[in-house]
Amino acid sequence: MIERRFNELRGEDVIYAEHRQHRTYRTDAVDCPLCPTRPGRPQTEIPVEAFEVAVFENRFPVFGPPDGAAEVIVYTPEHEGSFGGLPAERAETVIWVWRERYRELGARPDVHYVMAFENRGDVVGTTLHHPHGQIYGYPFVPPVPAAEREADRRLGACTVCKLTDRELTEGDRLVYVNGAFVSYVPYAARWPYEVHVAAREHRASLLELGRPEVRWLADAVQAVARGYDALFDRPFPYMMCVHQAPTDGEGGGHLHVEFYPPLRAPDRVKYLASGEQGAGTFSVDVMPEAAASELRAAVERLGR
Amino acid sequence: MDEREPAERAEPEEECPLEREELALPDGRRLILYSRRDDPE
Repeated sequence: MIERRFNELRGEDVIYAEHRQHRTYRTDAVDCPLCPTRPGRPQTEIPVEAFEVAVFENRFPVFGPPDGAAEVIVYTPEHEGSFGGLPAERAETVIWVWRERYRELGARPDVHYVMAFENRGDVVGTTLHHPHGQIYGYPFVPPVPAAEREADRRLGACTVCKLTDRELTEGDRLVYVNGAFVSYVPYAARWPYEVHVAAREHRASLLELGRPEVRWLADAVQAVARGYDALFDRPFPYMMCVHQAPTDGEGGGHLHVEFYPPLRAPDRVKYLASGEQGAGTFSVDVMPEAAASELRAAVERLGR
Repeated sequence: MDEREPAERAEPEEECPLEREELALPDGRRLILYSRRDDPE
């Protein structure tokens, strides 16, 4: 059973889904439910021997019809790996799938916001290590995209366009720039090594991208993900969220991918403690310009 | 850093290069398998 309650004090919705307490937790490769089903082995979530990219309705959903959707997207049949480590063509395919899920879920009247995302690493709560992400179709516009829409109204223009132009002009927080996307540590980043990957020209959603731009987006997201791994020479945990236009018909939105990595040093986690949880104000131990310089060097070391 | 010229804007709603196969899982959930029609891999 899924129950949504409105938290009056915070002015936001909270979702209760007790069944998720019993979801599959950190299986090894032999029992991985996201691997293809092998001959003679128990059936996994994917009852075929081969696939490129698979999407299925989450067995332990946070949302479900008639109030939204929760899907799992499996990037590859290979159990080991990461988004950053996928062949470039497969990363592109994943982005095309994000695009198709946005189109299909966003067309549903009960879905007002579609977010593809990935939690990578134990420290951000990953329960399965097979390379995968998730896609939520929210039956409302959640607080973060609502704040982005409000920022557009406050500024009277697209905020992401303005911020991206500023980053290109100032330059010292850039991490990686390619033909269609700009990757940077935001001027007021909330996480020590936060990176946003934004469409250089205004694009409300993936639906406005054609093949060249899909290729550039895959290139940029992989450059950032690989740069993270190179930064401290270890698999770098992160939360990666794809922000696009809400699908409630009220407009707004500029396609960009936000990375929130919880590390502030190779062996130090940035916890969201009392200051962040109790007051809502982040404090950060690394200046965005310094973080960008380190990340830029890490990406350049990889030969990009 | 790559400073190549911006890509030419693609036509919106460009045709998706994915093939789609939909299956029903034993408990009724939907599984969709996507593959590239243009086979870049």
